[in-house]
Amino acid sequence: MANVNRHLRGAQDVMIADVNGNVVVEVGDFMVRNGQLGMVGLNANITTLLAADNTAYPFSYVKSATAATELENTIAENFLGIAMEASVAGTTEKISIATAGVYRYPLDSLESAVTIGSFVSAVSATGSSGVSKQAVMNHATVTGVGSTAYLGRCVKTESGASYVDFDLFTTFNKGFLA
Amino acid sequence: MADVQRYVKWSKNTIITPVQSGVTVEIGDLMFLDKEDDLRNDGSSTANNCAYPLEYLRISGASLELNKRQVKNYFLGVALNSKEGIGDITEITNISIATAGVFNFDMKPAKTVYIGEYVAPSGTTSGSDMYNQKVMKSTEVLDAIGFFAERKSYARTADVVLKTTFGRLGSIT
Repeated sequence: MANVNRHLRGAQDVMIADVNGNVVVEVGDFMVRNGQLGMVGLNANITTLLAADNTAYPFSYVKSATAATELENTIAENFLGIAMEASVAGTTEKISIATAGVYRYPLDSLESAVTIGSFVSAVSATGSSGVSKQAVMNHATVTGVGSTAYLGRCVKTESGASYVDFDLFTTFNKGFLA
Repeated sequence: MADVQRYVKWSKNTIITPVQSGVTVEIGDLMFLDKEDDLRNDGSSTANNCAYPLEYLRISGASLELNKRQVKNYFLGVALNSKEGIGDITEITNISIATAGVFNFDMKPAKTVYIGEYVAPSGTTSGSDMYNQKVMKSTEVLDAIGFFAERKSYARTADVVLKTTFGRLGSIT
């Protein structure tokens, strides 16, 4: 996925977070704080699950040998927000991460009906496959089955939608949805 | 502690809150709402729904930890005005209080901090009183009034996201 600015409107409440040199970030990536042993790693350039270092990682680095449900909760509890800057490999730096606002993301299940107020969650939060860093999944109701790694709430009702507009809920701003 | 402008960024969502005439408030003070009986004077006070700096929150003379754990339920935010604690005891002054946002606070004790770690009120164990303008790193959610918003080594000051009971961000649960 290339760099895409997905912000639509609303205050972004930007936070500055550290990114390690062996981590690649693109604008629009969902970002998580590595606040727990074994929640990130097993990526192409990181061969082990890492210890907690409290730096920022894109969702694609979130993998674990733990059960999917536990991993989903870990994502929700450590969800930082959306990268506003890119970080190339080999550079240890600080980047801006938006912790609030309304954003437009592609739906993993194309052309589904989305309803205002319903939850939007991370995609494929399973132990082995990792998590998509720039796509979301719609839940028709607040008690939808599947991932509990909720990222926000839909702000527009639409049928046959390929993209969904949603209000971001992050742990360190308005608090995570559960 | 003198008046210190501690606001850094994000919307402040200011509210106007009454303060009793005898209470001194300085800019940058962490404030709580006296909305229940026995929050002050070692647990013998009457609620007056006015704002007070944290040093007044004292349900127990014996335990700093007990006092700190009361904060999150009554935490208003950061004072943006100052006022002298003098005058007619029946006089009420309104001040502005920021209920959300990122603020830079002194750390006591200084610690290395990371984004997302809990921020708690700091205090002196000898008097069991909390400081009005100092915070500390904590691992205890019951004490938490916000998160650190930056990574800093041996931080004597740090940027913190304050999560208040009455603000748009809500308190930490």
